[in-house]
Formats: sequence, C-alpha cells, structure tokens
Amino acid sequence: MTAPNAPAPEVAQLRRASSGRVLGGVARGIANHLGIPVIWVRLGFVGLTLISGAGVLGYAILWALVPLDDATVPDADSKTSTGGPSSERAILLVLGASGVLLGLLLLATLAGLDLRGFVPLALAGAGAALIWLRADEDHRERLRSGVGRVAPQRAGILQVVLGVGLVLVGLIAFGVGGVGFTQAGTLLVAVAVVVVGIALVVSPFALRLWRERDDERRARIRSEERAEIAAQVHDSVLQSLALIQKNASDAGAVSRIARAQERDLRRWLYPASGLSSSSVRKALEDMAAEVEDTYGVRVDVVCVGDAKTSERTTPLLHAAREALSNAARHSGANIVSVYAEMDDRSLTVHVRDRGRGFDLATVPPDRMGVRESILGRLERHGGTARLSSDPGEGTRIELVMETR
Amino acid sequence: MSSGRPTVVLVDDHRMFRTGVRAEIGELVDVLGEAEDVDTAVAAIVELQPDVVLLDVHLPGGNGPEVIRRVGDQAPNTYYLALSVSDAAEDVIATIRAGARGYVTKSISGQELADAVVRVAGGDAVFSPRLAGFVLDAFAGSVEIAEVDEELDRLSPRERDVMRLIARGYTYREAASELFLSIKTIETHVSNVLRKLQLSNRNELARWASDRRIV
Repeated sequence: MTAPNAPAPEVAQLRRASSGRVLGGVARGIANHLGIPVIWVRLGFVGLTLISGAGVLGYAILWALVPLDDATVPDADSKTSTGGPSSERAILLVLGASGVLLGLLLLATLAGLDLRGFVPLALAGAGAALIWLRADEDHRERLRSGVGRVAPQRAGILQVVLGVGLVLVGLIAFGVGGVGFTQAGTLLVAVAVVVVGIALVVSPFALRLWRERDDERRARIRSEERAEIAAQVHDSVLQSLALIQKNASDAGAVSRIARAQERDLRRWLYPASGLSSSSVRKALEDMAAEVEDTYGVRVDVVCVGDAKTSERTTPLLHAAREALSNAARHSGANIVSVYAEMDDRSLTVHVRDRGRGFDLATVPPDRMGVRESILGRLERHGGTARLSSDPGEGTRIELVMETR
Repeated sequence: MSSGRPTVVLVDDHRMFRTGVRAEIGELVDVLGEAEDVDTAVAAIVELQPDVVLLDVHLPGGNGPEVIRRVGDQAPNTYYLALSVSDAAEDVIATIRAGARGYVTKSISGQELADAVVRVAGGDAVFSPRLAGFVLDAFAGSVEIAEVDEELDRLSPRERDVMRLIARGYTYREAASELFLSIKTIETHVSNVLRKLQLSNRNELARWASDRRIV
C-alpha cells in the first residue's frame, strides 16, 4: 500500500458560468459541469422548448436556483469583457426573441392555429426575463467590484422599467383579451394574474436579498472570529514577546514571562470543560500560576476528578498553598509537582519537590510555616497531613481531608 | 536495539525543535533521520526502520495517529513515543489508542527523554505524570464494580497505586521503592495499563472521551 497522496477528487458543484454565456450562463455551466460542448446543451434547451416550452421553464428554474460561479468572475470577464450581455444587449436579445416568437405565432395563426391566448403570456415572460437578467447582472457586478453597491446605470434602469412594462402589458392583455373580466367568477383569475405578476417582478430581488444576507452573515462570523484571535494574540503573545526582548539579558525573567504566557495560551486553546470558579481544580491551577509568577519555578499540576470548594476544602487549599510556596522558596528545585485526587467524599493533595530537603527536627520551634500553617491547620480542621523529607532527596507533603 | 544505542527518527514540523532535540539526545541515541509532515514521516519510517519514532501529535497534512496507522505493519519492529506540546486529553488518548507506547510533553529534559526512548525501544511504556492523571480520570471508580467489569476495563489496585505515584511525579525507580516492588514489576504494571488504555472499550472511558471530544 503506497501513500494515498492524491486528494479525493473534488465533487464540483453545478454553477452558472460567468464567462462565455449568452443569457444567465446556465447552458455554459452545465456544459462545464458535464464536460461536453456547450452547443449540445443549448440545442437541448431549444429542443425541449418545442415540447410545450419545457426548455424555457427548465432554463428559468435552473437560473433561479443554481448559484453563480463567483470564483471565475474577477479575472474571467471584467478585463476582457467578452462575457455577459450588457443591458443594451440584453434588451435587444429579449426583444429580438420576442419578435421571432411573434413572427412564429403569426405564421401559426396564418396556418390556422388559434394561439391568441399565448401572446400576452409570451410578452409577460419576456418582461420577467428582462428583470431577471438585470438582477443577475447587478449580482455579477457586485462580485466583480468586490464589495458594496454598484451605482445603477441608466441602461439598467431602462431595462427594469421595460421589463415591468412588458409584464404589465402582457398580464393586462391576458386579462382583457384572453379570458375577459366580464365573465362571472373571473375575479379570482384576475387576482391570480396580479399575484403572479408581482411575484415575477419581485422574486429576483427577493431571492438576491436572501442570498446576500446569507453571504454577509457568513463573512461577519469569519471576521469576528479573526478579530477575536487577533485580539488574543495581541494582548498576550505579542506583549510577552515585547517583554522578553526588553528583558533579554535576565534569564530568570525571560523564563518566567514565557512560562506565564504558555500557561495563558494553553488555557485559551484547551479550556478545561465546565470548570467553574468554585472548583478545586481551578483553585489549584490558579494557585500554581501565582506561585510560578512569584518565584519563577515551574509548577506541574495533575488533577484527577474534581470537586466544589467548600469550608471543608478551604483549609486544605491554604495548607497546599503554604507547602507550594515553601517548596518554591526553599527547596532550590526548579520544578514542583502537585497532584490532587478528589471525589465527593475526600480530597487528597500531594506536593513534592526534588530539592535539598530538610530535617523537621532541626526546624526551630518558632518557625510557623510547616508546623502551624500546614500540619497544624489540617489537624485543627479534622484532616491529616504527612510530611517526609530527606536532606538531598526533596520533600513530599500529603494532605487529606474528608469533605462530607 | 540489538547494537546498544537505540535508533531514532524524529518527526516534528518545527526545524528548530528537531535541532534542539537532536542536540539534547544525540549523544545517547542514534538519530537516523528527521521528517516534518505525515508523508515524509511515513516514507522515512518505512525506509529507515528505526527502533523508536519520536512523534509530534500535530503535523501538517494530518496528525501523529495517522502516521502510525499509515505505516501499519511496514515497520514491524518500530515503537512510537509521542512528544508533544499539547496537554489536551483528546490528543494524548488518541495517540495512545493509535498505538504509541508512551506520551511525554516537550518540557521534558534531555536526559529524561533519552531514558524514555531507551525504555520504549525495549518495549516498555512511558507515562508522563499528566498521562497517568488522564488514565486515573478515565478509569475512575471502577474498583467497586469490579465484578461486572471485564479485566480490560478496570485497573487493578496495584496498577492504580503505580499510576498515582507516576502522576505525582515519581520515577519508576522511586515508585518501585515506595511500593516495595522491583522496577521490572513496575514496568509490567505500566505496560498492562497501556494495553488497557489501548484496548478497553469500557463505558466510562468512552463517556470520558466523548466529554472531551475524543473519537
């Protein structure tokens, strides 16, 4: 088995083409997607149109639903401008198509077929096509220019006005000539006609608005995440690096700053799940951080389980802090290990260093630290504390407290 | 490691770090080669057949566990020791379950790292205090329900004691003298715990892992 190096072939999504298109880029998009010459797709649409206009309907649906291929927009057709139709061309194209259609209808009528009802619909369809084309063109131009609104051009406005006019004329003609408002019960038809008209005119803009909102939301989330990361890096890492450069000659300070920064970054990258402010684990980690910052030694904390702080755990945590700072101050070791195991019954904390150690018997009786703050404190509160230390071997302190 | 010093391949995407590790352990082990991403690592391991791979957990083009899986049985005598800056439970456990013989963090000293390499080359397991803590956390509370659990799904009291000492920062030798056992026995216990961590499908472990988003 050799390395499966090649990335999985990317499943290309069907997208409308931005360049080499006549209308909406649907045919070109399909051709690109299937890898066949575009002429076959176009002939296919024309052929389908002969079947009760299915080709036109299919084209319109794909146009509305298939997203524009924005990746190829900026370089593909802004410079060469071989691509899409300008407003003038679109108007001419649609008017031309309407003319051809009318001619065909005339021929058909001459041949004895009654297609009068179809003419108004064709007019309305042509108007709708103009509006859709315009909306689509706006979208392209926005993509092309990067962001923001594109100032509407006169030809563009003309195109929309013409489109609305054609839709209106078509619908009115349909209402008056085709069906007739005089017949009873045709009010419903009239209402339906108006609704369809409004839908035809408004839907491209509504659809565009909806898509834009989606895109904007995604972009906003991305930029917010970026800003948060930038803020975190700026507040922490960059500050620390500046401090380190300033203190470059002081090895102790450098390692202390680096360690504090490491701890901070770690906490941000790997947040312990559900660590509340009243958790023993959190209290121990904060304590360790404080000792690290104060004495410049490394404190490794390993916790098993977690528990809530209470009046039972507080004396033990105070004793642990004393043990920890004793180790940091007096042992000479550069690493102190803290191990805590807790459940809802008891809490055990071990503090150990590999420093110089001491003999408890030689500690003068007036020294409060070990005897009072650690051993005495635990016993007064019903816990147990054990200390073992050998000169040269380091010190181990075990603190145990029943917590219920 | 028939000829004394174990042979090592270093896998880490930071050249500075590789150079540092090479300088620290180069006297004690034979560094055969280095790699900086998943593809070069797989190629280097298959070609050089080292005793031990020091494996970073996060790599360009994938991660440590993926290297272990892709090499598969193409390097049958190679052991993996994960060496990472990450303390995250999901990284640690995922790497161990992929087959690594141990996990140490990058703050380890050169001498300790060389010891760990020798230990892994000999087939033993290496636990950092934090990994031992994770194990105790993951296998928590299994003593009381011992009779319903499979042997794989719980730690024996002795194994638990050993893990506790390692979590407290004890070396194997210190743990051995604390528990009045031989070092060899400690090593056996640790290897058994590693096997359980890799093979157990204990519910607790699964739940604990899913809490921390481990697959």
